[in-house]
Amino acid sequence: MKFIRMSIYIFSLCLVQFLFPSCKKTDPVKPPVNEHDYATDVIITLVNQSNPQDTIISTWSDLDGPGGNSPTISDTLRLVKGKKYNGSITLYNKSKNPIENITNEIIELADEHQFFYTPSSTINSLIVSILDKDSKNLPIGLLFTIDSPISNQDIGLLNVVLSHYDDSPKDGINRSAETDIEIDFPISLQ
Amino acid sequence: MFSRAYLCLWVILFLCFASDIYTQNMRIISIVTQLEKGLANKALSQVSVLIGTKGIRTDINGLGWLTVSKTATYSLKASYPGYVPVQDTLLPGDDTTITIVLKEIKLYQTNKITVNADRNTVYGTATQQIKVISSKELDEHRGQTLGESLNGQLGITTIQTGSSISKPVLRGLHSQRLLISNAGIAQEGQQWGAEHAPEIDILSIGSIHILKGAAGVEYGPGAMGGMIKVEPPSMMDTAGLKGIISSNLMSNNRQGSLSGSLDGATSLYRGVLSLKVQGSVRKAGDMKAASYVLGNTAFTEKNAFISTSYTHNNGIIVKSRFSTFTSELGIFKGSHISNLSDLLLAIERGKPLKEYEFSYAIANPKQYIAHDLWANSMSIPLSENINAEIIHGWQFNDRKEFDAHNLRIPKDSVNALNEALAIPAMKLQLVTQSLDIKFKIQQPIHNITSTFGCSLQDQHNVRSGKVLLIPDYTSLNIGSYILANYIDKSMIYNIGIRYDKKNIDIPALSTPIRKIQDTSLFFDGFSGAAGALWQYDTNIQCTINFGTAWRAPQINELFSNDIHHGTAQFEIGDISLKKEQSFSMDINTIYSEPDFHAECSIYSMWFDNYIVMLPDKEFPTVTVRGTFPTFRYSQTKAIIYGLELMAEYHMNDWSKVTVQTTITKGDDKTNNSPLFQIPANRYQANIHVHKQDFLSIFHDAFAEFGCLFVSTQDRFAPNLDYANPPLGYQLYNISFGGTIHTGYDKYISCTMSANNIFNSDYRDYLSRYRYFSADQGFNLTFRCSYSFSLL
Repeated sequence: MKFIRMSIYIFSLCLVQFLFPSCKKTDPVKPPVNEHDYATDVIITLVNQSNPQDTIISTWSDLDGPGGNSPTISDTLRLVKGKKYNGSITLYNKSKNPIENITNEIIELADEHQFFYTPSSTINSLIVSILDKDSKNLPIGLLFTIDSPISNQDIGLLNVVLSHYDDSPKDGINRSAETDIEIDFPISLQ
Repeated sequence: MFSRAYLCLWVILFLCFASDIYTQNMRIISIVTQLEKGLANKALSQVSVLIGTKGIRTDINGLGWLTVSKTATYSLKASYPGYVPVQDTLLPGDDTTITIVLKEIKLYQTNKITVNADRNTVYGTATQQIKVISSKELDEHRGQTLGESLNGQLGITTIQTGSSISKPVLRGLHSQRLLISNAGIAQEGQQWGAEHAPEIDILSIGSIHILKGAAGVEYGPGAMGGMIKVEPPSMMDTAGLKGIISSNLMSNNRQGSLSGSLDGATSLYRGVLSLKVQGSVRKAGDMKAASYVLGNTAFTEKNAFISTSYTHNNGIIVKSRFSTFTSELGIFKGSHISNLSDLLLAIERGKPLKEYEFSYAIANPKQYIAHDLWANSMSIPLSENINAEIIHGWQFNDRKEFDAHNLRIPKDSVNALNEALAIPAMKLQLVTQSLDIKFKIQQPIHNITSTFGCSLQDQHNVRSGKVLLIPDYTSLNIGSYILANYIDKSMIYNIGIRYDKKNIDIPALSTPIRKIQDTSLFFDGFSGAAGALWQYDTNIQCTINFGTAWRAPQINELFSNDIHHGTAQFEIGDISLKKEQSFSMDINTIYSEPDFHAECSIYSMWFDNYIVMLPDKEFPTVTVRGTFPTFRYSQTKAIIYGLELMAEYHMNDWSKVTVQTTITKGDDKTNNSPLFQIPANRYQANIHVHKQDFLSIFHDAFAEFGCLFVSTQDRFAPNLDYANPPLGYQLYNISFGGTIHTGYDKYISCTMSANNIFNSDYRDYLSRYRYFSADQGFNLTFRCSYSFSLL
């Protein structure tokens, strides 16, 4: 019987920890969760080459990140038919404080990034040409021109893709298997 | 720190007692252990035989010797995992030989009543189907993971993510609907993810019991589809010290593993103290499909356990076991998808974008998982008939997932990059404590045996990192149950009921991305079981079982709100989900003759409020990475039904043929469409040849040839998936092995097996990489173990 008492005693010692389930629950130092790594704001600026007064700015914005509220687009890109525009794209992460300018990071890692601009079928006579080149003379796409056609096409979407190349090499033609950005800007030709 | 100190303590204790081994000399008894097998019994090795407090483990020929007093009466016990333990009395006299015949734990091979009572000592419900995979069977087929080792059992398939992650699927159910218990404790990790495998070291498993059908009454909510019970290796119960060193080598991912264990026992204070320690390491490189390497699928594992048990003469058994599992594994980068158009391009390509070189390196994305389990149990015979059992479990699951996305850090700042890579995108730490108390009436009183029990489980989950898939939570589950078996001449009736309640508390969380209010959820429900077993004659046995089981929604089903990178879906949980309830029916018929055995089971499970993810086509999620299809957790009425057939024919005393068929179907009754991810039908055939002595060197030599045919899953909802289910496939496997006896109780066992011998390029419907690549190609495995006794 002494043995039984002893073994019950030992066992209850094992169980004592059960009474303090919270002793294991040390609150770890949590990194802030109020930031994320992707762009919250993508801004396209277009300047009419023949009329610098004709400047179009459109901002795609999703401050609360994926899910939650749907993203907003500030304006349609309204292009005058038959004109040539100088374009640029800038990216910001406004969920961080201070605001992070992602554009600079893309410039720094230009060899690993490329933008692709694809007009939808209803405005497929619109031509986007990339101006800037990386160290290997391959296009980047932060700076570009848009040739607005003289045609009866009027509205459509401009699909903007930022490909990230770290697993596959950048060749200047093909998209990578890793897309950092894929958004559509509405366009109207007037 | 804690675990290391604990380990040291036990090593010191062990060394103290190992020297205290005593013997008595009166008469020498030779013991022969045999396996009951038709007319000719077969020697069974490694059986532990206990006479009084002394005992031995029989050698390769089923022989052992012990010295006992000629005048005393001893209790005699013999046990071997997967076999019915034998209890008898050794009377005083001059006898020098005892022959013990063991029977497998399978009802059809045994007399009706005795085994039924025995089943009740192991499992409360005596009428349910239980399949035991013995350690010997496991050794012949031990794969890389628990899931892989179970794959091929009747009714079991796996959800595979490369070669390192594998989840068992029993009758189409897995994760939160299938309970996996390790050393008597329900395994609690982050079970909800398809790429979260059970954290159990395959090299530390002694035997596996598969319990089919709802087992919720004895094992609680969660055991809706059944239970996979992983049992540690049996411990020595007689004085001695033994060791095993084993190694596995695999060709496909150039894997090597090494494991060593020491097993000892000594007499101590009118009882036997046993101790077992084991450590194992494993390193594997990138996995190869038929014609290419999958980059970043390497993994490493480091595991150890120490377990101890004390059996007192008066029947009290105290056990304690601490095990630790750590694994670091790479995730194939091509499967970590940024957006939907990338996924569609990857599916169209169907193989990796570039040719990878084989490597052992593990880069991001990767997972780091650690799981510590401390299991304590105590079994106390309160009287001749009644046994009390207390089981306490403590588990710590530490999961870190490292992302590969958006590390937009200039290349010159290597330190900054390394720092960013070293921070997990998601870190989840889950502490689970459980306490189970059971009272069992083991010997029938008025033909009734019964089990009463109650259980308590407390969980704390703490998360950190940028990815907010699930919030912090605490949960408390309390349940109690009663089970009874009524044993008549050729019938057993079984009935059981259980009530559980579960509280989940989620503290408030507020970030610009996510807002969660302070939430407290409460669920409760009844589980029930009723069944009957009818032994028509010595050859035919029928069982019928009805059951109902329930489960509370999982935390991810309630709170998910993010992109799932494996499937490019935006998954949204629903906090108002109700409990899921199942009603099941299972009819099983067994026909058995000495040289022929056949089984047929049909089953059906109806689900009320079956939790499933359904596409919300009207509201796709638009993000900066493009538009993702939105999936919402919702509840439907569902049914899963199926058929399992198996037949085994012994052509002569050294060869047998086995064929088996598994058919599973599932339907969403609310939406009138097939359920997602129900395994395709499988047909299997094996020829097994066995020779007790081969070339007078090899004992227990065997050779096996198996083929597996998997049909194309043609039942699927076309709008739920990006790609149609892959085509069916055939796989051929071959294995052979044997044991070389190098001295008394010293032997070397080797097996060699080749899987997918024709290196076929196949994809399984449940493989998570099927969008991106083919499954594992040809694999040659060599296993070798050396067992020796030191004392």
